[in-house]
Amino acid sequence: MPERPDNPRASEPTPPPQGLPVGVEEDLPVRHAKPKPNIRVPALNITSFLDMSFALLTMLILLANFSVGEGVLTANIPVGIGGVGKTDAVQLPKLPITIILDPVAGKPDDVLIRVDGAPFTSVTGFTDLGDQLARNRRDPRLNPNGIIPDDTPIVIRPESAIRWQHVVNAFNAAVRARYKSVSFAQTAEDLSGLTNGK
Amino acid sequence: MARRRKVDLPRPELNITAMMDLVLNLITFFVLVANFASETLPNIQMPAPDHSVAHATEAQRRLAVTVESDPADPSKALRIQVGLDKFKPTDLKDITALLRAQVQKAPGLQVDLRGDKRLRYDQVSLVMQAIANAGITTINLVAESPAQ
Repeated sequence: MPERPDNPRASEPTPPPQGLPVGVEEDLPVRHAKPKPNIRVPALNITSFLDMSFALLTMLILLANFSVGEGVLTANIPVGIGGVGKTDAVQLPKLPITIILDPVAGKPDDVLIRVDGAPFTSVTGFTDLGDQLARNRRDPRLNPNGIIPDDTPIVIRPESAIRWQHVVNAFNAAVRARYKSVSFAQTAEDLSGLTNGK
Repeated sequence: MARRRKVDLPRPELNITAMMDLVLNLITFFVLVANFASETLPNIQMPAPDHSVAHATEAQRRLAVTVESDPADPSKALRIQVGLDKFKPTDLKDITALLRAQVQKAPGLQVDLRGDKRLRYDQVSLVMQAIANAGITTINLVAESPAQ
């Protein structure tokens, strides 16, 4: 596209001043119209910056890990053969409360909850388990009539086929009821597995 | 009336070259760091207890042990990851040896056990046993926190 002159009239010949015959030119100063400066709108080229920002945004969205918030439940674990940090069995009270998790026949994702050593046996779910454990926990200030001291060991004993979700759920119920010593029972499979070097 | 001469002003520009260099450096740094962080914490289905009391821990010396489930059979373990090291579910003795070395290097090390919620208990209990054999008797079971 041809460039348009800033002032089209500037290139035209200047007409002779009036009052003089044609062909006679007076030596007068001629005012030429000055060309208009080409005023550009100030602009900031941020194209590359925007490209970069979008690339960064896309990368962060793709790499973002929409993970759920994680928390921890501190647990005592069973100690096997040759374990260095063995627990002294003498220090444990003789009558712990054992939470037994049994699988349901034909329903691998379900669980049956039994409680051994507690004044209650029927438990409908993990929320109920936590509520009953809390209701029976002795607290000198809040629940002096509770019959289970809070230092009574709670032992979780899941069967092998139980899902880890239920195990953590049972553990959480005991911790939620604010018992001080919650641990896992050691199973025969643990011992045999380690002995066989599995 | 005299016409004022307009000055052809230079076009204002902002040199963002240095900023772009810095941004690229930052991106590279964060990509590298983010990869390391996600490598130590594989994405698994976390157990979500009823009325969870799982809490954040402030412990400085922590080591994540993750038991991943097999996509073909989620009740079975596919891989066990200790920090950045990956093991087969049968390499329990190697896991014990690694943990024992880590504990000797950093006494007071805490282990966060991250197990997929679909796993069978016997798949996780063997890992717990391997951790115990390294001289660690207290672990942190990782679960969804109550805020979720």
